[in-house]
Amino acid sequence: MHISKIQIGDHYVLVNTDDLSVHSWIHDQFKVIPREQWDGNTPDLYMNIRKGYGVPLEDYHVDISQQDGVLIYARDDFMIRSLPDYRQVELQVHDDLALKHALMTIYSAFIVHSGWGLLIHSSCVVNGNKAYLFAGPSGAGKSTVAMLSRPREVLSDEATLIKIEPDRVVAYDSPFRSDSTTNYEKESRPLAAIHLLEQSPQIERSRISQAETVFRLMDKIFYWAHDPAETRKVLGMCRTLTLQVAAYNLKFQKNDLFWERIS
Amino acid sequence: MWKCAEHMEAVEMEGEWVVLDSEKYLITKLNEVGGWIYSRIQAGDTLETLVQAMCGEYGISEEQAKNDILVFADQLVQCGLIENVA
Repeated sequence: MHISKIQIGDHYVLVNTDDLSVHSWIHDQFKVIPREQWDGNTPDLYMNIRKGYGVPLEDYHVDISQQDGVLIYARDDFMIRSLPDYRQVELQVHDDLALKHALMTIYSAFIVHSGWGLLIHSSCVVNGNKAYLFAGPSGAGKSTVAMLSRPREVLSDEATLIKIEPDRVVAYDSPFRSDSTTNYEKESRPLAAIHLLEQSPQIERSRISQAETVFRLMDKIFYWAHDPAETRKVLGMCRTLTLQVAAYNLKFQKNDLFWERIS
Repeated sequence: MWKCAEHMEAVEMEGEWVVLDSEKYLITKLNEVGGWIYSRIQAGDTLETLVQAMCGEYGISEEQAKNDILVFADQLVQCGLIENVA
């Protein structure tokens, strides 16, 4: 049995697996807490992970059901069994992609349930010690913006992890990445603005209303609806986020000149 | 007479409204007037009280108010945000 303690956002996750490839993948992808520093970091989540489940991904649809007090998230390539507090979880996965998506699914459900924050389908870049989020539909340029923004720090290129409090919104160094990697030495930063992207021959930045922002962000949150009470928490946090952070439509060319409009 | 459908969560921001069907995860944005009508239906207004309130709020005739409310309420019913009740 291989046991690791990893950190995601403010949370410690104790991961158990009997599969060496899973153990190695976890160590490659996440901030691993050395054993000598385990004392005092009580795990927020306990996960058991096994490989050998299902078939390669064919359909992103996740079926969610409840059996004998256990929540079950099932996809072609993974099955998650979780207690309703999302703190004790069993993952069965087909491959590394399934493992990544299963971890995103359950961690996102956990932070919604606990009211900590949201995982948003977006990239996030640091400029002047503040974080700037870039969201949009598939192909809109989220990871392109992150790439064009270098050497600025990239907090995320696929899924931005944000903590939402009544008087503060902070973006964290996200482990859920597609094209970039992180050494987990990046500080979390206050979120200064949200941008909804559109590639264009022009560069144009225009403010959008709070209601429009909530409306357009809700389908960009990594969240699989199954319980109206949890879904209401998503709306509530989206609202709290939008009340504190200004949002803009951003038309951008494939270069970094858009930063002149932002800063 | 109408009532809000079950599992609806509505929030008002800067005069506009966002209504979430928390069971189906469907979201609808309403402009200021639409949100105002929705919030009155949510509060239990009948057509008659809503017409009177709209005339007072927006300075339009009763006929105009009634017509606008019925057209808009029909759209809300079709979107599943409210239901007709006897």
